[in-house]
Amino acid sequence: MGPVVVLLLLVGYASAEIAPSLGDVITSRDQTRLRELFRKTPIDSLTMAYYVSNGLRILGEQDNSKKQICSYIQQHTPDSTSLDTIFYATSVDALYDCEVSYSSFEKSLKDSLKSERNVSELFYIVSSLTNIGSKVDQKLLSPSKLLDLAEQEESILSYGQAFLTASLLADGDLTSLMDTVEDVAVQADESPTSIYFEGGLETTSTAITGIVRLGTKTGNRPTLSALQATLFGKYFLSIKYTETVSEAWYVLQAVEALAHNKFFVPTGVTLVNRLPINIHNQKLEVHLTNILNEPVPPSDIKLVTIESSSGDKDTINKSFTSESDGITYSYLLFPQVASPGGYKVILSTEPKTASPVAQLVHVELPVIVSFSVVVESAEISIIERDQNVAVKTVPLQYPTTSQDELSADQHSKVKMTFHLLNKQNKEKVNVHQTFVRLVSANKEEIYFVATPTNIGIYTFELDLADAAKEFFNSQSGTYEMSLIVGGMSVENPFSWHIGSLNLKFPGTPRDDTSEELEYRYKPRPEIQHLFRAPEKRPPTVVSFTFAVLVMAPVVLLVPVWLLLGGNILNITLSGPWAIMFHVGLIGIFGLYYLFWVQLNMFQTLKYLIILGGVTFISGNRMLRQIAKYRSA
Amino acid sequence: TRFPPHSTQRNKMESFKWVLVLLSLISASTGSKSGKKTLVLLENLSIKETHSVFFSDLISRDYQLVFKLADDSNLALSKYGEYLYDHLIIFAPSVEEFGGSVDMMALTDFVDHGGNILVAASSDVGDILRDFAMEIGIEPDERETAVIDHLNYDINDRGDHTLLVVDPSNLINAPLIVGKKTNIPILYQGLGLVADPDNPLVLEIMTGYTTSYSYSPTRSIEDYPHAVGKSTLLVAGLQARNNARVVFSGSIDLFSNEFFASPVQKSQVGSKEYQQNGNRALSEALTQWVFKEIGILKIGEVKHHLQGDNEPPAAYTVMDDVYYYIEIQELVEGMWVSFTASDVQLEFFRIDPFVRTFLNKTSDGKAYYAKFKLPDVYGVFQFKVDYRRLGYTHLFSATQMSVRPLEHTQYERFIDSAYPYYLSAFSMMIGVVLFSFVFLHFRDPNERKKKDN
Repeated sequence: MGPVVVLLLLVGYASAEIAPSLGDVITSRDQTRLRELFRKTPIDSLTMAYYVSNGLRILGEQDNSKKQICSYIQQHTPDSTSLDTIFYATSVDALYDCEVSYSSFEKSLKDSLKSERNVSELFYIVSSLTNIGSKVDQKLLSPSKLLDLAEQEESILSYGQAFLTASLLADGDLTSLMDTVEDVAVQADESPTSIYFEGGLETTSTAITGIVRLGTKTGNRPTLSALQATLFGKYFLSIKYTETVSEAWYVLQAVEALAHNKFFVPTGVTLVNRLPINIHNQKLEVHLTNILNEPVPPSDIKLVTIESSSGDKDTINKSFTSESDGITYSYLLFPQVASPGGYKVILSTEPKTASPVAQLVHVELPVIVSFSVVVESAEISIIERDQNVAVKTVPLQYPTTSQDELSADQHSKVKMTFHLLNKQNKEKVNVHQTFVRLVSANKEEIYFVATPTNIGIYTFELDLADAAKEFFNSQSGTYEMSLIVGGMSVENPFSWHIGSLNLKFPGTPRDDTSEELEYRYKPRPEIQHLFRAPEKRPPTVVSFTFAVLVMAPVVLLVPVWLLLGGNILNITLSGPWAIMFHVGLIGIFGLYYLFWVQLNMFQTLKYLIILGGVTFISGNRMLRQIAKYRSA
Repeated sequence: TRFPPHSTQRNKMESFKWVLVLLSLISASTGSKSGKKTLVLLENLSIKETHSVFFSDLISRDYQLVFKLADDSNLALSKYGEYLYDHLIIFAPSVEEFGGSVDMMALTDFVDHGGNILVAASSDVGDILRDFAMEIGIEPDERETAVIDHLNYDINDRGDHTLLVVDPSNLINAPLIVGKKTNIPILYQGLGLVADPDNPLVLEIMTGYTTSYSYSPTRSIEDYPHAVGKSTLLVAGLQARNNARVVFSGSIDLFSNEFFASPVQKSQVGSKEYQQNGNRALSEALTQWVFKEIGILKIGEVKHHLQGDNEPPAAYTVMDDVYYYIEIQELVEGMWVSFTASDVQLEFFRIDPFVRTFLNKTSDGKAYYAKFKLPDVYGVFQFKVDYRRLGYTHLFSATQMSVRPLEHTQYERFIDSAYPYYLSAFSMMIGVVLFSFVFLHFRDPNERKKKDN
C-alpha cells in the first residue's frame, strides 16, 4: 500500500486529480442500521436531541422524530451559563423550527464574546448566534483572533472548531485560516489503510467538516488533496459499525461534508453483490457512488486488466456500460474469462465532465468465476502390496454410497482415483480442497489429502502398513469414508459419503483414555465400601441344643447325688463360718458374672479383694473346725 | 518517673499513625482488586474505534480499561513486584514484539500470578502471540493462512471462503464459557489453531466443521494442512492450575463492530438468514468467563462429626456413622451465594478412595452434607472434595483425620453360637458351689454308725 500511495501522490500533483477508490461506502443497509440507532435512542439531554436530529437529517429522515425532539427542547431551556447546551438547543430549533424563542440569549451571548474565551466556547457562541439569526461581524470576533487562539491551544480540535466558527462569520478575511489547512492536514497519523488525527473521531470529524465549510464559505478549494480526502473517508468508514450515538453523529457529519462539497468528493467502486460470475450471472456489476452511496456525475469506467490468481495478466482496456439508474455500471465478463478461478479485476474511472470527483486509478476488485464440478471415473481398489495387483476394484458413482464393504489389511493398499470435471465444458479442473475423510466407529476423524497426478486426475493411496501407527493408532474396524470437494470457485462443494472400509491393522492400539482424562470434568462413579463379610456361624438351633446339653450335668447332679445318698449334714459342725464361706464363694462367682456383663477388670478386682478376703478367712476357719472335728 | 509525660503521648500518636498507614494500605489493596483494572494492548489506535462496541460493553460492566499501543516503549505489567492490572486484553495480532518490559516471560508470569488474558489473533499473526500460544498449549497455523470452509461460508464472503458461519453446535458444551444455548450462528474469520494433545488444560471453546481446514487460500494444497476437520480450533481457552484463565481467539474480527452489526447467512441455497449474529453475545460470555465474573467457586465452612454429635472426635473408630458438611459458594454478580449442583462428590480417601458418594444439599440449601458409615479399615484418611467442572474454577478441600480399630470392649459380647461355652462355664461354677457343699459337709453314714457305736 505504502509505495502505491506515494506514487499516487506524485502522479496526483502532476496531472488531473487521481485518487484510490474508497472501497466501501455507507451502504443503504448501514443507513438503515444507523437510522434505527438514532430512532431507538432515548432523548434525555439537549446533546442527544442535537445528535439524533442532525444524524437523522443526514440520513434523510426528520419527520418521525421531530415531534418528540421538539417537545423535549420546548420543555428544557438551556442554562444561560452553559454555552454548549445553548448551542445544542438552538441548533435543533434551527433545524426543526420548534417555535422556541431563544432571542433572550442573544445579548448575553454577544456580551460573552467580549471576555476571554477559548476556541470551543467561541464555536458554541457563534454557532448559537447564527442559529438564532443574529450575525457576528469582525468587530465582535475577527478571524485572526480565532487563528491566534487555535495556534495557542495547539490542538487539531481547536483548529477544526476555528474553521467551523470562521465559516459562520459575517465578514472578515479568511485567507490566513485557509493557509493553515495544509499544515493541519499533514499532521494526520497513518494506519495501514487510512489517515486520521491523533484525537480520534471527534477531532478528525470536526477538522474535516471545518475544512470543507471554510472552503465552501470562501469559495476556494482548501489545500487538501483528493487522496487525503479519500484516506480520511476510509477512516470514517472504518467506524461506521459503531453503536454509540455520538460516534455515529461524528461519522455522519464528516461523511456528509465529504459527500457534498465542490472540491473533493471521494468515491468508491463497490461490487453490487458478491455472487460469483458464471453462466447464470455473466455480468460484473459495480456501483460508482460517493461516500453516502449517492450518485456522482457520470464517469467512464474502464476494465483495465484482469489478473488470475496464478499471476497471468490480461490487458483489456474496455469500458463498462452505464445503467440507467446512474450508479450501476456493468461489464459482460463471462465469455472473456471462461476458465473458472479467482481473479483480480483492475478498473479505472474518469469523470466525463469536470467535477469534484477525482479520477480513480487501479481499483482492485476480487472476482470469482465459478463452475459446477462433477466427479467422473471414480473407482476404489484394494491392491496387493507386494505384487502391486488390484485384488478388488469397485466403481463409484457420485452421489450414491457404495454398498460393497471393502476390506484391507497390512499387506494391502487402498487406492481411489477420480476425475474432477467442469460440468459445462467437461474440462478437467483442479480444486483447492480434495480431502478423504475416514471416521471410525468411535467418531474419530482421520483426513487425507487426495493429490492430483495431472490436471483434474486425483489419486488417493493409503498404505495400511505405513499409516497404521501414525494415523490409525492400529485401531482395526470399520471406517466410513467420504470425499470432500470444495474450492473458491466451486459452485457446488460437497461431502460425498462413499461407503465403508474394513481395515485390519497388526498390533494393539495404544490406549490413550486414562481415567484422569475421561473423568476430568465429569462426576466419577460412586464407590460403596465393601465391608468384610462376618464369619459364618452355626445355626442357633444347634448352639441352643448344645447349650441345653451342657447344662444337663448341673441339673442332673442334685437328683443323682440325692439318689446316691449325698448329704450336707456335717454343715452344723462348722457353724456360721461355713455359711460365710459358701456365701462368699457364691458371691465370687456372681462377681464373675457381673464382670462378664458389665464391670471392668479394676472394679472387679476391687470387689474380689473384699469378697476373696472374707471367703479366705471364713474358709480357713471352716476348714480348721472341720479338721478339729475329724481329728477328734 | 523515668519517662517524661509527653513521651507516652507521643507514643500514642505514633501508634495511631501506624494504624492509619495500615488502614490505608488495606483499603488500597482491596480497592485495586475490585477495580477490575484491565490493560488493553492495541496494534494501532483505530482498533479502539473499530472494536468500540466490545470495549464499551466492558466499560459498562465496570471494567477500568487502560489502552496502550502494543509497541509503547513504557509498557510494563508490574511495578516493584506488584502487578498493575488484573486482566490483559491483547488486540494486536501482527505485532512481532511488545514494547517495554512485556515479553513472553512477562505474559506467562502474569498468568502464573493469577492474571487473566484475552488474546485475539488474525491471519497475520505475529511471533510474540505465536510463542505465547505455544506456551499455553495452542499451536497456531502459519502466517497468511486462514480457516477455510467451502460449505459453511457467509454470503458476504470476499471469495476465499474464509468468512465462516459457525453454528452454536460447534461451541463447547459449557454455558459458563460461551453463554446460554442459542441457535444463532457466529461469524469467524481468521487463523486456525490446534490444541496440544499433551496439555489436558486446553479447552476447545469453538471448533470448525468436518469440512473446515486451515491453509493459505491462495496457494494450492501441497502439504498436509495444519488443521483439518473438527480438530481445527477457532477459539481456544485455558484454565491454568492456579485458576488463571486465558482465551485465545484466532480471529480479532470476531469482536469487531463490523461483525457485531453484520447479518449472517450461509451461502448455500436455502440457508436461513439471521439479522443478528451471535458474536456480541459470545464475546460477552467469553469476557465474563475469562475475566472471572462467573464460574468462581470457593469453600466456606467444612465440618465433620459422628451422626448425632456436633464436635469432631479426636479419632473415629472403624464403622462409625459419620456426617460431613461443606459450604460451597459461587460468585454471582459480585456476590457470594451458595452454589447449587447435583454432582458434587465426596471421597473418603487413603491412597485410594474407599468411599465416593454424591453430596446432598442441606434442607436450608446453604451447604452440602453426606452421611455414611466409615469402612472397616483403620488408618489416616481424608475427607476430599475435588470438584472440577467445565467453566468453574477448580475446587479442592481435604480434611485429614484418623480412624482407629475397635477397642477390646467394643466387640460383640453375646454371640448366639457361643452359648454352650458360656453356659458350660456357669454350669461349672454352679457345680463347684454344689460340690463344695457336698465335699466339705458330707457325713458318711457308716462313720456315724461307727461313732455311734
